[in-house]
Amino acid sequence: MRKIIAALVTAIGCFSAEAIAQTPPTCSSLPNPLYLQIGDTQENLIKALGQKLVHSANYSMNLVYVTSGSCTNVDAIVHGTKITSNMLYVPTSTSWTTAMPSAACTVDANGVLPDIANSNIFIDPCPTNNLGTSLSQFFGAIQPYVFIVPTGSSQTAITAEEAYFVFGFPNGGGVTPWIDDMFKFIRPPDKSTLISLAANINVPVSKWKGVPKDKSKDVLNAVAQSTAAEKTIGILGAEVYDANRMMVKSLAFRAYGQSYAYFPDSTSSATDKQNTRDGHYTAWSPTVYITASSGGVPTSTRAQYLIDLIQGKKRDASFDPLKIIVSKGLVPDCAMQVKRTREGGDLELYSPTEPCTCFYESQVGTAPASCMACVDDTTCGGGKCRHGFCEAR
Amino acid sequence: MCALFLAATLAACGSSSSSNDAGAHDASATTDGGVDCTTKYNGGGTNCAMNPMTHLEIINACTTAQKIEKHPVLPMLNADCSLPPIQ
Repeated sequence: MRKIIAALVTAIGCFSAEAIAQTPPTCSSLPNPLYLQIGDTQENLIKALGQKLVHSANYSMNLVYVTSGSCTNVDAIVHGTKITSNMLYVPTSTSWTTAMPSAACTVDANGVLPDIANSNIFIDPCPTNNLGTSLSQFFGAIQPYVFIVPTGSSQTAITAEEAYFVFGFPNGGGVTPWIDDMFKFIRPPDKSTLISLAANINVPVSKWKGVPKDKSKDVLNAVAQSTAAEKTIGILGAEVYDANRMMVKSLAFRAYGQSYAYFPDSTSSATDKQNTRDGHYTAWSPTVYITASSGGVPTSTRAQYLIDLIQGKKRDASFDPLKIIVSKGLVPDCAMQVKRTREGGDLELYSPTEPCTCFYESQVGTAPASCMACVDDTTCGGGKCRHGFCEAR
Repeated sequence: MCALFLAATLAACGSSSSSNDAGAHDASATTDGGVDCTTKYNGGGTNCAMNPMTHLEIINACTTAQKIEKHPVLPMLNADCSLPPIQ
């Protein structure tokens, strides 16, 4: 009898331990949490930064996040809308990789305010876009957006005029092969992917024709698994596309007034974002991070630390955030040669005050022969040593 | 709207010698008004901007990047070859 009781006690103990292990922790119990409400195209970046930061000896924090549409995120931080659903965070386990799902944590009954809201477009097109005096926006990396088709499609390019009809008119306005609205996979009108591309083809966000999918991965899967490859088309952030190039292919895009269509990169297979950086590919937007501020400075030191990393203003002792940003298909401002001031607006030539072109090109391929490696400014002939390469300024 | 006008103006000046769109010269591109819209949105051409300054020069700057020429067929163009408003 004693053996049976002992076995039962042991079994119950094991069961309880397993149950405890599977119960998500409360988000507030995680050390140094920073609450983020982000667009899902930035999840790969936040997961990668979160993994570094949770192990950082310099400034350890937990990035606790939830994904939603860009304009929804802006509205939430402006109106103080609390997050009440479960959130996600990067586990501390060293065996965890960014290819794995994040872990869930539970939010306290009263909910939690986001410390940072992320928009992956200029906020001007959003219904709520007045940040008042207690919030500030900080511009992060540039994100291209792409039209995607199944790998089995023969299509290689789409012009702005074609996209105008395909997404603005029933049955694609007769523009073959994209004439079936049930095979056009789009995003809801509060999502950056749709808003950015809408501004580039002059189709109002509320007028898009197609099947809206809430998550980028849903568009990705719908396009990849389509039973009618030729007439299928979808839209994605390049960060998501770059991580899933084996599943779908992107189309080159020809903007209004442009002679040829171009990919975000120099070729369909490259990852250098050359055409995004020099203005041949126009479908891109800035990533924007909004947080409470005083005098334009974030009031949360954790928020400021993360924003400084994303803007490339600060390097953690254990990692260079720009390497992570570049690896996720984003283009840091310091590598851009063009800029714009509004969604879909005209491009202007741009010279960053602290350029990082050589570093950027070293990360996406091989730095040009004109780029010289350095450890400090002394070998840069009056220039600056930035991220291991001499830059002009 | 300005971009559309510029697009139409530039594209009208362009020419192309090849197409990757089998239907590029479909008769449906000619409207009832007798205006031939076939080539208006073809793009292509050999000119590129060596020292780009303006938006149109920047997006049409000379480059070694892969470029794709496309001759779209746009059946619903207006009689004057402009894009119809979205309803």
